[in-house]
Amino acid sequence: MLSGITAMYEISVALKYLLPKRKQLSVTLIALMSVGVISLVVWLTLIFLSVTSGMEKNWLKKLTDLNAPLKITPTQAYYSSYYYNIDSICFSSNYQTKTIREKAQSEFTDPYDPEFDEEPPQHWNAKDLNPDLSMKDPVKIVYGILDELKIKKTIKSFQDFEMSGGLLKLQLLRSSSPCFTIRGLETVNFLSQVSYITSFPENNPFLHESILPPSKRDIENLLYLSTKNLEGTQADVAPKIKLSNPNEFSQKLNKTLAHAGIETLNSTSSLWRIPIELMTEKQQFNAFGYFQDGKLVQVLISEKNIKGKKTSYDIVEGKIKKINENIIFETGRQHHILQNSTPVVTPDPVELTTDFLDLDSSQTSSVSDMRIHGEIKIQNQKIQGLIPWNNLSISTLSPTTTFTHKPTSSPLWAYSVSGSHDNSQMHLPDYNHNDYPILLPKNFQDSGVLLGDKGYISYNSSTVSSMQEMRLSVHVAGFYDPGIMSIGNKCIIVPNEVTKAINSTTSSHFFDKIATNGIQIWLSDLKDVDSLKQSLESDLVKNQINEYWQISSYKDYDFAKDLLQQFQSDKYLFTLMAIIIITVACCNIISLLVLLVNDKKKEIGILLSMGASSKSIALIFSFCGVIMGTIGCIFGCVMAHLTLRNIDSIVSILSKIQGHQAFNPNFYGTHLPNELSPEALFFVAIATPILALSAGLIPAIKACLLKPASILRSE
Amino acid sequence: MNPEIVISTKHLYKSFQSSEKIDILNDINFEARKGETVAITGKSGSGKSTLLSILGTLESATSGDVTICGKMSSQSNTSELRNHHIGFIFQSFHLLEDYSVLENVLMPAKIARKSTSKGSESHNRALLLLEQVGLSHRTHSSAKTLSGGEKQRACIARALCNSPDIILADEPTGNLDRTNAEMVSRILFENAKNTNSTLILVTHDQELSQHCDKSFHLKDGFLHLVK
Repeated sequence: MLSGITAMYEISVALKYLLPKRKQLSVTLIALMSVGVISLVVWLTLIFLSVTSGMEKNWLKKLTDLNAPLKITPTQAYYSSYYYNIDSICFSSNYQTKTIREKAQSEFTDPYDPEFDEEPPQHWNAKDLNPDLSMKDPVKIVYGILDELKIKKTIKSFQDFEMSGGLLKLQLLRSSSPCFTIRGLETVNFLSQVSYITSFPENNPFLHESILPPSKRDIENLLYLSTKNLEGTQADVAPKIKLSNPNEFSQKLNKTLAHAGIETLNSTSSLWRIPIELMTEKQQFNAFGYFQDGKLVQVLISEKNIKGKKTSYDIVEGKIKKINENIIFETGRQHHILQNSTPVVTPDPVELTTDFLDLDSSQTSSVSDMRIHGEIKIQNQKIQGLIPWNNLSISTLSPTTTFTHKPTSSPLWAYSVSGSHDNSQMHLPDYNHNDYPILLPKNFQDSGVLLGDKGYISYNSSTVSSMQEMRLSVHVAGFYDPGIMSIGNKCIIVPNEVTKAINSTTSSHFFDKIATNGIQIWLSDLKDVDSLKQSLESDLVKNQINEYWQISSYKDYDFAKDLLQQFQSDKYLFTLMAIIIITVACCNIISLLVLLVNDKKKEIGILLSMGASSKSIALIFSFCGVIMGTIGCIFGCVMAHLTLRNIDSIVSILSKIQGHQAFNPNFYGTHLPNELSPEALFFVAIATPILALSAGLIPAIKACLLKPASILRSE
Repeated sequence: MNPEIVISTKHLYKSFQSSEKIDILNDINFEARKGETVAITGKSGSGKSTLLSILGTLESATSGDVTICGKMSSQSNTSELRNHHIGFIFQSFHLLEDYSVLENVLMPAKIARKSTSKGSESHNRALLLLEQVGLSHRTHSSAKTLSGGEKQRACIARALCNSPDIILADEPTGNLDRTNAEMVSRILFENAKNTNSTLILVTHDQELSQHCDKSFHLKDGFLHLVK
């Protein structure tokens, strides 16, 4: 190996010095310790910086997914402009000011008809005119600029938003029975929440990532509600609950199950009745017959041996068979034909697998008729067919939330249609104007709200003489992760009509007018946000509409500033700490190399006598430092990679040891970030060898100052 | 015409400062020509090895000049002079014990940044030198496994690796038995003759000094020409 290296014999000498040798146990031990400490520090630095940077990315994503990284909002000049106010005196605008969306869709920039409409007040601002004396349309100009940017793919998408406020009241109808298919006592709870209301941003390309898929409890609630017909969901008292008529039920059931993707169900009762009539004539099961006064009253099929169990019945072991359509319990020479009323049950947990495509809904008119096509396994034998949905609860499901084409019958929850990758659009379930679907922040789930729950949104409408309370019926169509929205966990996403209805009738605005309406812009890459903001600002100036619009990026959002600054300062602080601890770790190298220089004095003398320069001798010991730093760095990186790959398992062990969750999921998310940060990797890959080299310089200088003649004479 | 002078000293002084000033070398004016064999004798502690170290630029003189192959020795060129013009042979061998015999012989070539890979000029020369000193069979043996005579022969091969103009040998046979001593001195003289290099020996061995072209005696810090 040595002969192969010609140019840098210093490296080969350094490697030779560092190879562990029994003769130099102390040097070897200190070398291993130094490498170990560096690895540990590198590991710690990488883990911390990667997790912090991953969390920053996650938070940034949460922040910009719903809020959009860039917003264009109208200024006070817009709201006091002739352009905005003219609609309030025009018959063609129904004497109502228009939202940004309405302005964009409006046919006329100036709807004023001097023959029909009253004269605009004197104190209004004058019309803002183009050079050709036509009226400037700030909304259409902005839309034009954004459309162009979208075509150029500079931005991913944009959409107007409208915000409002109201009181949300939900009625939570629940069955006291653990299994919704059994009729139990029904209770109604009410949940009220003063809420912010925002329009549904269907063009938001990231919205589908924030929307949570329906849970099994959600689907069970939908199934339960499909059996009910509620009247008076806009009232403050419990609604009148009627059973759905067979047609309605069948329709609702099909709508629920069409996209629910139920895969397996589990038996919930301690003794589950097996649909034994579905067994084939080839099958037979080991069973225990329960006899009372010589009469077979129940047959039990179990994996466990229950013979020794104390009971008032006589238990006889036998087999269940099907002969000529009759179910027979056979014990030795005796045969007992099972009557329909004789139950065949199992105490063992049963899993029913189904694809639900064969749901026999044509014959389903009530819960008791619900039969599903599926199969169960009893004693390793399959029983297939239509199985009654009694004492079964959903175990696993994979509801469809993404479609390639808009489904003919929409699911009962929010879904996305991804025609092409760049063109994914979110949709709310189909609705009529008597009952609007709404999306709630996920914290509502903690209050027991489930998909399908009904209620209303209340808001005040001013009339000439009084304030009037208005109510809009709503139902829960999904939950979303609000991330770090400024208005946090109190924001309901509703169809655009709802915000429009509330804003057009509410006399005093719920919020600052400027914040209630605007345009959100989503980008492909957040890094472009500053340059895009600048280019948009210059476009507005170029079109002379800059006084009407204000552009803000996520960095300007008040609610995000603190968090972003916190992440930045955390990063700087730990980088500084990392430099200090890596320096301390590298200082170990100094003591090792001083020891090594003393140990290798004779060899240094020999090399000098052969013509090695002092620079070469210094280089050898500097390389020793760099090699140890690099090996420590590589080990640390590998350890960090392995740790991050298994971070979930490590966190779960930590949580078990602590007895509670080691990392608060509200802050850290359900999973800690598990990607190695390239910036952190770059930092340790550069910093560690440099610091190790610096540490190696002190012993290197000591080595090159040695006098060869005196060393060789003394040796 | 006389051959050129390859090494010379002019008014060379060396003194050590302990409790009092000790003058080791006093006004040494020495020169050796190309192909010459020179012996320096003297009592133990007379300063022979110090003079040899100063001649080989391993040590600096208190005052005076050393010129090697026409280049005045200074702090900036000592390593280059040692690597290109001088080959050292020590009484206690000073081989690199963690390396093989071949690696030891090749080390001066590595330091001179020459290619030492198999088949290279340096590699072939190292093998030839090992053959000449009778160590072909120990090429890949570890240096620490060699006997004293073998070590000194390996040391000679190493000193000759870069074809130096001057060989400085500090009591090369001092630690060897008679047979090995004879073999080592024969190799040294033969090489000096064959390569026309200068051999400067520090020795107590009268026979060896008589074998040289010139002989100096160092006494009380002064160098006297004996032969």
